[in-house]
Amino acid sequence: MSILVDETTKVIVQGITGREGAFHTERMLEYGTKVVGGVSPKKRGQTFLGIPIFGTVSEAVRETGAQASCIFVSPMNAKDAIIEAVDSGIKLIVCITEGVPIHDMLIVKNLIREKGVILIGPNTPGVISPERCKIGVMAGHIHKRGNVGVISRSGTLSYEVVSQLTDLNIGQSTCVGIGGDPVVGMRFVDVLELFEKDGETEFIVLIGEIGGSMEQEAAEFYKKSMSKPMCAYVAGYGAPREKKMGHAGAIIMGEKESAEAKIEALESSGIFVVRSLAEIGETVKRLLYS
Amino acid sequence: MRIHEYQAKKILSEYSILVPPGFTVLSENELEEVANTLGFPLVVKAQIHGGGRGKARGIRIVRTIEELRSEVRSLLGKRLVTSQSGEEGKYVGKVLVETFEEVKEELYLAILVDRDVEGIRLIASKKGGVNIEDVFREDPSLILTELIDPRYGLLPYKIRRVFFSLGLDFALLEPFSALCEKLYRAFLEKECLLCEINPLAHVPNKGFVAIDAKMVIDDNALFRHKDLAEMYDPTQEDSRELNARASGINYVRLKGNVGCVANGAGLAMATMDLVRMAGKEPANFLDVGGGATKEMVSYGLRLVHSDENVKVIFVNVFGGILRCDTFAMGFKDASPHIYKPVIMRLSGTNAEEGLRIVKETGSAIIVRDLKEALEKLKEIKV
Repeated sequence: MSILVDETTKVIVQGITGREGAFHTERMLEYGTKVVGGVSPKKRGQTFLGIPIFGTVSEAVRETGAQASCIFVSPMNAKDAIIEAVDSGIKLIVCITEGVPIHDMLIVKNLIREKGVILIGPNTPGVISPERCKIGVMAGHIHKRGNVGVISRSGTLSYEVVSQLTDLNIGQSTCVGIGGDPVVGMRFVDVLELFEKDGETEFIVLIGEIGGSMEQEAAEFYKKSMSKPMCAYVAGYGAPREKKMGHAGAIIMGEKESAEAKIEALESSGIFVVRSLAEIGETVKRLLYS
Repeated sequence: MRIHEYQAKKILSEYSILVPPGFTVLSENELEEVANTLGFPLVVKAQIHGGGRGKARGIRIVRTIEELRSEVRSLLGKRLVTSQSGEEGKYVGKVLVETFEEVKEELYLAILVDRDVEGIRLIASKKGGVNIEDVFREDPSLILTELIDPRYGLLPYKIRRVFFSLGLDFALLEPFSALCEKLYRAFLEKECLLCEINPLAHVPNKGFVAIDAKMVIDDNALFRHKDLAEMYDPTQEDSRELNARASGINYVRLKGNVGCVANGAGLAMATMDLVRMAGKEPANFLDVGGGATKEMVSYGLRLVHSDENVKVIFVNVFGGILRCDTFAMGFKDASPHIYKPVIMRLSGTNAEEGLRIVKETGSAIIVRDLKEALEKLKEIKV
């Protein structure tokens, strides 16, 4: 088992013929992901690496039976692409696009909540269940199949943590990049809920950062509804206020949005917070086998 | 993106929200005409990004032309240091001169994107004129908020809920509702993260007047608002941050003396955390970006190096889409300009090749992993 995606997941790529879309479709295929179709209105009827290209998502779903979509369109087209996927019966949407306007996301988020569709991102590396399926842009080879679930707001930090784990021979059940924007589809708690129910996941690593209050939400949820061991890391200790630290969502507007406040909330819920990025792998090893 | 008060007020008046009559002044020569048109008393307001202007004497009331001249002279072209500006202050390139409105009661009204509930929030308080976060800390019951579902818009009953808690005269319900609706339209159409009127005043015979206004626009939406993008004022930012952005690099200057260079926003933040773990202070946040070229890497390194506060540079790269050998080539290009010590950790894609190139330059302390980096950071004297 794993969460969200596995070897049976059939995926289409929206924006398959763009530079990013084409490059990463090839990487996904190499990894073994079942990419069954692409959407690119101008290239309708052609194929890419043997995969049929459709003009609309509904056509692609009808012809291929895809349940998931990976979106690589430009920021101005992301709202349309996500809503098209929802409207065409896609159940899992991964939106890689960085720079989607927040007002577009407010509309999208209210819709997907109502429809019960899962959205990962935007501004995410995607989701991977190692050795079974990857939907996104992360390097497949640093991952290894196992029983640690990883959730992160940051792409590079999840790569860092995953490679520390893999180096220590600790595999991962599923790694979910929820995205670095202020408003994203799945929040930490949504992923935690799935990990708690997943038979394969025995331990969870949560990687948070400054901005918003998703870490506090996760802390509260953990205390109330979770039994699995978990550790966390929060990036941006001592970061200045009202300064965007790279991610659109990494900005401290109020006191509760600092790393200090988040660490305090996580610790008070009984979650072990690792202070040094250098020690995440070893901490997991120690906690997992203790 | 922040915009200035005068720009926010211009937008509000386009939505027929009342603002005090006033003029933006760039030089002293214009003052006589402004005074003749508006009459005294007037208020002089330094146009900078960020609050705390009142306490820093960035807002002054004047009653004569001499006072007007001397106050404008003491602000225009100077840097104003406020509690939020940092010690170097913010450049005052423009001054807003407005009719001074005598107000009895200062209210607060704002519409913002609330990322935690993933919706839009209307906020009002009868205690305006001060920092709303302070009001909330002292007495949260003074703050009234309503959530707006963007699909339904700002429904009248939500405005009524807020209105009745403000304790205003019933006759003001209609003008207050109209004000909220106008503000909501501005908020939506300009794709704001925040539209704030603080203080908001009710002036007899005029109506609700926005005495001060703050607007923050979503950077990600600027591609469809050319007019707003033009309101960007580079004088309000650190010149290093500006140059970095022009080169596609995310850079934020901080106060410490350990320069940081990393790839990816999260890793760049975690790199600063490691510096703090070692008992030192980071001089900056720097993310060269996932798709960085060797030119961008070289530029980023030289940018950090050129900061006079920086005594040592910590490079922390986990190669992915940006491969370690590409990074190393950038380092090699920059290395003739680099004489401060560099602690370097390169890991991930093509790390071996990258380390070989860095070793050839002979100008970096190479560490195998983050643990060793932390040790080196602790040891090094800055």
